[in-house]
Amino acid sequence: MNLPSLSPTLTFVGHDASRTGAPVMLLSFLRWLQQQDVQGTQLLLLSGGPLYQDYCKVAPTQLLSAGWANSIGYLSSLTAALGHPVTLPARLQALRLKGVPDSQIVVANTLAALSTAQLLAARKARAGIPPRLVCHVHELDGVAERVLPASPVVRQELLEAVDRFAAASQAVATMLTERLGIDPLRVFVVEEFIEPPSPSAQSVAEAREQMSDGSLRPIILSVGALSHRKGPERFVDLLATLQSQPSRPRGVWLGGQPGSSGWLEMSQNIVQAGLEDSLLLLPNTEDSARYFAAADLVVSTAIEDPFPLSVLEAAAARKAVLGFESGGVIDMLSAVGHLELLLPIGDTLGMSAAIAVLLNNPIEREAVGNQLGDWVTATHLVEQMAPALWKVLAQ
Amino acid sequence: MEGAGPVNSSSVDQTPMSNSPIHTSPIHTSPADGAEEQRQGPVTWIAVHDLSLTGVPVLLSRLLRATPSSQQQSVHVVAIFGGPLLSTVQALCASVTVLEPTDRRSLSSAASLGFITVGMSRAGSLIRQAAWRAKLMRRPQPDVLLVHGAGAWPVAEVVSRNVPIALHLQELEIALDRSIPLQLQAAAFERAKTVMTVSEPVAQLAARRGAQLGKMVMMPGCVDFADTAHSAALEPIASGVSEGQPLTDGEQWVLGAGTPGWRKGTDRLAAIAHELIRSGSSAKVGWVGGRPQGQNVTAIGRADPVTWFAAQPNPWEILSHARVFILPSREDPMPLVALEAGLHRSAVVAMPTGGLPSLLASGRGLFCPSQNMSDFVDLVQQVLASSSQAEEMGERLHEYVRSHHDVAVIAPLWLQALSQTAGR
Repeated sequence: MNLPSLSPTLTFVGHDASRTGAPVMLLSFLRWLQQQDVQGTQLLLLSGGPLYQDYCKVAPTQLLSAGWANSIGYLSSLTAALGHPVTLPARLQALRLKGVPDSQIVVANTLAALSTAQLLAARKARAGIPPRLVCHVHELDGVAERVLPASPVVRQELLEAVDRFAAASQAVATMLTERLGIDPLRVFVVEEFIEPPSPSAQSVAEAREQMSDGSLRPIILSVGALSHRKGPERFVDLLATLQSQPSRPRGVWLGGQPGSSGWLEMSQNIVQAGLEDSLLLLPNTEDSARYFAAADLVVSTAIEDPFPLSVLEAAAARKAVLGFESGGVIDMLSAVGHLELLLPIGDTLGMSAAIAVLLNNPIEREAVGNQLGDWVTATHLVEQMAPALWKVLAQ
Repeated sequence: MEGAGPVNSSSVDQTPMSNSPIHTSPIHTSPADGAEEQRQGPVTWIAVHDLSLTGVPVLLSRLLRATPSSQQQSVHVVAIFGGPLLSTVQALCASVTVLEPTDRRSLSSAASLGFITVGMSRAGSLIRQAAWRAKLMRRPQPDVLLVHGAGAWPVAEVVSRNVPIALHLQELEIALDRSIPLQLQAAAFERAKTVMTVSEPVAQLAARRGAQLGKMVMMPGCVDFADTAHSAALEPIASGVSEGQPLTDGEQWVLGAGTPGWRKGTDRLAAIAHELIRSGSSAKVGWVGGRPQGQNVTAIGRADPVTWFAAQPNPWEILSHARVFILPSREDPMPLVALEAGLHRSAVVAMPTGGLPSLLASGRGLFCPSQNMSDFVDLVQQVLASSSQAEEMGERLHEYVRSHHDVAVIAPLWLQALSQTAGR
């Protein structure tokens, strides 16, 4: 794709720099923009995280929570906590953004970042040149409900201020149009994408050794934060029922922070289910590709997930993927014609039966993995999808 | 803004959600009326985390209801948060002091949190303790403090170290660790003179965390056979769920009840429902207590095979239609609703957590050998297939609960434990 030599200036607003879906995808996109030699992009982060240094390498990055500017945010939080939420005048709130240079396009990378992005856009609008406000929506209903303003009036005003929405999956677009009442003409589906993984053979072998603990049992991998939305407790239930299979598969959950409440809860789940030798809990890592490559099957037990990057990464590693029918997994498995691997939300026992079929049929499992690998390589790598996203943002 | 400051204990404030933190019971009379002379037993403060319609506060209300009225006049309840049980509890004791508002943070709590956030934990704790002491200063000093549930342990920090403490532990691992930080548990068990536990696994947990065996007393949950109207754990709340439909005996229902979430295993209901559908069963799966919220919210925009009933004034009006009453809990020390199932002669299928295996042993119900959903659904189907087995299980459970878990059996033991802790 040939981008115009004089591209519009863009400010991206991200909610944080965690190693989770939306921030990771933004990093991929910013890296792609850098490769395309697009000038004039900058990033504003509401809070930090492990990706911060990576962001700094690809775009001028400012952390909004740093310094005195955060005290205004703290004041708002404090008054809200006291039960007397004070809506600070927009001009006062915009003080937080004083040092942020203007740009022609403001992009909220999530609904969670939209309020700040809207303030930034409104500041420029007061100067007489309204910038385009775009929101890249990586959330589905449950999360959207939590991060959007509770007041229906304020929520509607915020959503109406957006010129274009990029939806991370068809399910997200449906939420925006059918449940949040947004004009379909303002909504563009741009599915999530990944950078092509390339783990070394040695790192894959090491990951296999770590996950298998030296056994020959098949490995079922799930990747995600230890939140109920991602369904780690369902993964435990799944592994418990699969222990009756002759191959006694081992499960690995990759994600979470040791010592966190989610980690302790999951550890307790594993003990209660008697799965100490069958389910391994591994912390977040920047190098998940080698674990995908080393697994036999990948599952998504999320009950709500717009388009988990983990299933794209699993597909890129040519692994068969199963998931509950939420968000982009539906699009992916529909595209390759394997709807039998898509289970109703919460149907853990149905998923267990579907996994058993694949465990007992390695040829079929491999064939599904190859189909998914071909699909993701042809359609969902950064070089295919980033131009489409650029088009929504800038053209 | 904080609620109004402490008021004189002789004043009467019967407004359940009043801003005043102190609510004096209608049974209470001022010293001038001779109440001090009528009072029997030690002055007892009972600390409870909240007054919601959940197991821990409901058990407290049952035990207080069974307490002789003369002894009720010596009881002062200290609730960290209020809730819909406030008026019920008010009528059963001399006073109720609510320390924190439920709809917002108090100024002291916000300040405390602010200090803790910036790493000044000690200052944060001192601010909160000072505010709580101010609210409690007009209460008569206790002869004994009962910490009813580990969630109320912070109240122990604002009473004199000379006051003997009875801790009624009603938590398993996750809940205990969230209530009392792991590193502080040994000291808490050391300080408690008596540790009451609601089931054997809770006792084992307490022992592992530092409680001495000689301090421990088994004090399980209870139901009131003489007053079934008060033995429902759930009463009306504004849950916003109204999709419950009239039940008929022509349908087979698999029902459970409680606060939706990880602990109660409500995410497992969909798995049960889908498996029953796959097996050709016409049984329906439902839950009384509201729909999962927040991160547990499921299936927006998709078909949901589970019927979610709002919390009910009398949940057993719905639950009594259950062919099988299910407890798919992951962590449940001794659910009162299982005892209520016995009261109502229901057939129970449960996961093996807390005191449930003991309760349901000897044919009083069915429970899985481990936390395995496949086994759980098999047991549900077993009961669905045999009404005679269901009736027999229900009858056995009823008799067992009557002899072991009637409040008439438990309350005297509870009062005795309190009295012994007080040294009377």
